[in-house]
Amino acid sequence: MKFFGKALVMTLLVAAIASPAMAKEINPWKDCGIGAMLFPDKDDEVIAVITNVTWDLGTTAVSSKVSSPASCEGADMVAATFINNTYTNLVEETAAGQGSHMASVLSIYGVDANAHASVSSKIRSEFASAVTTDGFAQKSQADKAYAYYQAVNSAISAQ
Amino acid sequence: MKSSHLKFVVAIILCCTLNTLAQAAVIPDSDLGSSISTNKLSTKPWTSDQVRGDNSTQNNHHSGLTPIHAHPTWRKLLHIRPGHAKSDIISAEFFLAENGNADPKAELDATIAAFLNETDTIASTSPQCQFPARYMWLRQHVPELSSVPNRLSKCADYQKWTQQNTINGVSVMFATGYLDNPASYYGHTLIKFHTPLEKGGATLTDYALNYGAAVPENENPVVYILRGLFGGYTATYTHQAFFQYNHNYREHELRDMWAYRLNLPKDKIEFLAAHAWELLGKRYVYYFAWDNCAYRMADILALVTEAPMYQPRLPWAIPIGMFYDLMDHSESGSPNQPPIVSKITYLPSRQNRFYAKYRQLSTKEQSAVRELATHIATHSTHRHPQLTPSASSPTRLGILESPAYTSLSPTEQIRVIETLFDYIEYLKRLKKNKEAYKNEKRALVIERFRLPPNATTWEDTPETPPHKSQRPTKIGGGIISDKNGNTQGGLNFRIANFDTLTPTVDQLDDNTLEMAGIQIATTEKGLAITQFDAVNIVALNTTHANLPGLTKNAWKFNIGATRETLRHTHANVWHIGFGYGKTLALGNSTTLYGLIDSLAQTTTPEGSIAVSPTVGLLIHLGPSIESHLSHANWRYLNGRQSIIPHTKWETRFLSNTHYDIRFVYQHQLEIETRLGINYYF
Repeated sequence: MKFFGKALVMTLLVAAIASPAMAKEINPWKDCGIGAMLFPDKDDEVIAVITNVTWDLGTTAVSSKVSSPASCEGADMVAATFINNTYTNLVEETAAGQGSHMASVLSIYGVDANAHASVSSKIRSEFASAVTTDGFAQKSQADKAYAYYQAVNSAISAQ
Repeated sequence: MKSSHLKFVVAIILCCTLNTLAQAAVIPDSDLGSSISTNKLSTKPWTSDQVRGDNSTQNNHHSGLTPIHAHPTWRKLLHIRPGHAKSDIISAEFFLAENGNADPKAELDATIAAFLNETDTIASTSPQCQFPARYMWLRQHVPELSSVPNRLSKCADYQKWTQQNTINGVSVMFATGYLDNPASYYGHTLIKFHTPLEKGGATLTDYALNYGAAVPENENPVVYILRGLFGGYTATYTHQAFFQYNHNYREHELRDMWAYRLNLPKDKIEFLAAHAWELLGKRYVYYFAWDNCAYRMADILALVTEAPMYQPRLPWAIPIGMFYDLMDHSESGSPNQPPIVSKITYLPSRQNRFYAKYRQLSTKEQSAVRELATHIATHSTHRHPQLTPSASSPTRLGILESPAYTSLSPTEQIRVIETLFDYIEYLKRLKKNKEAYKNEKRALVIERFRLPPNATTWEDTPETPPHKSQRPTKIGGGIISDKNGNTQGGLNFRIANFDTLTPTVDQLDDNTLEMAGIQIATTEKGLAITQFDAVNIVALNTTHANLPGLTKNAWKFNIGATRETLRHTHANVWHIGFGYGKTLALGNSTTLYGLIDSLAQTTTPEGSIAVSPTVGLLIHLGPSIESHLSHANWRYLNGRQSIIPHTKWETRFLSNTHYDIRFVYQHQLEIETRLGINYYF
């Protein structure tokens, strides 16, 4: 009985660890609320601060939108936030092959500076395919950013 | 007029007519002087000897000739200004003693006791985690604390702030002025903390420290102004990753940024970062004119630079002033001391990145950009067949198959496409529509993907850093003559900031932003005020590339007192004026503008309203000579019901950061000439 008890516990543990829900790749946009962190359109806003605008997007998002702190922290979350908010620059730089925003993403993931060129090349190749697919133009900004995020992860994984 | 502009105008009127800057009375000159005298410029590493100041005090923090609680650094850590009795910080949680905000000794005792009683169980509320800078400083100053273990590495949130203690540099950032938001006319400052990540060009992910007031949404404009000027708001330091500010300023508001990297040793960098951490979220009383971002950034920097960056010569603080002082002290350091500023980096706005690229294009490349830009800019109103997909590819726009583009080499095509990236983003900002030109942008991106990567380089555009611009406050004197050769003496003064002829170094070039300007002439009866400008703004918004869609409308606004005509000896009418029109750049050195001007004056016996078509020409004749010619034909709609032409020609000679010579010719029923020299500070 003891044996069956232990086996049951072990089985449940293994099942929990290997469950599809846990193994599922985190989508920071859907799972961590990054989609709500887009820059507000200030043209429609009352200026909130006398000296200058000081909205604190990062803090707000982390404190109010992150549903699962354990899985929504770390380099992935930082990179996703960065990609989400600088998508326009990233796309231009990726198409051009280089730029400070691209370098920032790679640095967030700890990619060695010597490997930036090769990883950048892979991202360029991955994302070029994504951009030219049917329906890409109709995607939301968040979905496009997520596509870029996937291209980065894919390029880094293939390193 | 936008509500934000209204807010600003009311603020200026209040400033000028009440002749008060709320904080001027709070900060006596003697206090500022005292502050300077205790701050010796030093770029040497921060050592315990320096912070002790007096070795006799190091073993007794409760008494002594120079008690620790009276040490300038301790008072700076508590934000108690020299000569003041209370801290500027109004958040009770910043103080460990009950009356710590007004009693530095009690706060010192409470802080030391807290550090001594701290256990190994570290939480975010533990004294070391809350007050790391106090701990760093007192540990070197109070012997009892030398036995207290350093637990900062266990403070999770603090470690996050210091990026696991990897901060290795500090830059003071300047964002240039922004005429679309009156509260941002004078620019803004941030402090950026660098980490080693930047070796890969990743300075964007570093943290930056900001200071600003918390204003409720939908605040009434008048309330906003009054509370902003007279201490009705609280303000605090906040932080974000730098890319957030970078996006807001350079991409969204099209403002240039400058980074002044400070030459600080690691211990001072850590000390500054630790103190910034202590201040996050702590509240101050905000005063728009004095206790603002410029003052507060200078305030915390003085903790480590020991340079007087309070602008004590002026009863107000503006962001650029901090950089003047910073560089004055950096450049005047002794030969044995390295400059405070080690590097100045220009971070151009999307607008200026576009201009810089466009200028670097060949004539052939510029023609291609113009052709493509014309199609792109007009698509929203006129469906153009060349914007539909080409026959060869569903994602390739027809315009990319025009001979002007296809005849270019791949490298030239890359330069055209990358210039158009900036053009489209700039255009989107001007139209305030982030959804515009999506298809065109996508087509350009796909085209750029088709071309080889890393195939071209763009040269950095050399720009003059902001601290080399002419100083904002003006005082001048000269001679005024009429057509009969009668001469008078003339004086003028302006609080801030620049006029159309000022050699500025940012996007506000060609614009005017003058506050509280006054002109005085000597007469037989004594002195007479001939003009008073409470506020005078001219936004010509000159576009430096002749491409479609880039023209912003020009506008002007002024309010003050003036002579009805040049025949009057003193300012006899109050006026308010508004103009709207267009500007056209004729090459790189000439700007033509036209406005429909309007004017309301308090003439007697009844007020008058006048309108005029106004034309003006600005000509840069060289680095030191610039001329501005304007002509208006004022048609008075009531009262005198006449037409009065007014011609003005003003030329600036021999200018530098502190001086210029101006010659002014005016004809308005009477001819008047003025020759004067101005000093700027």
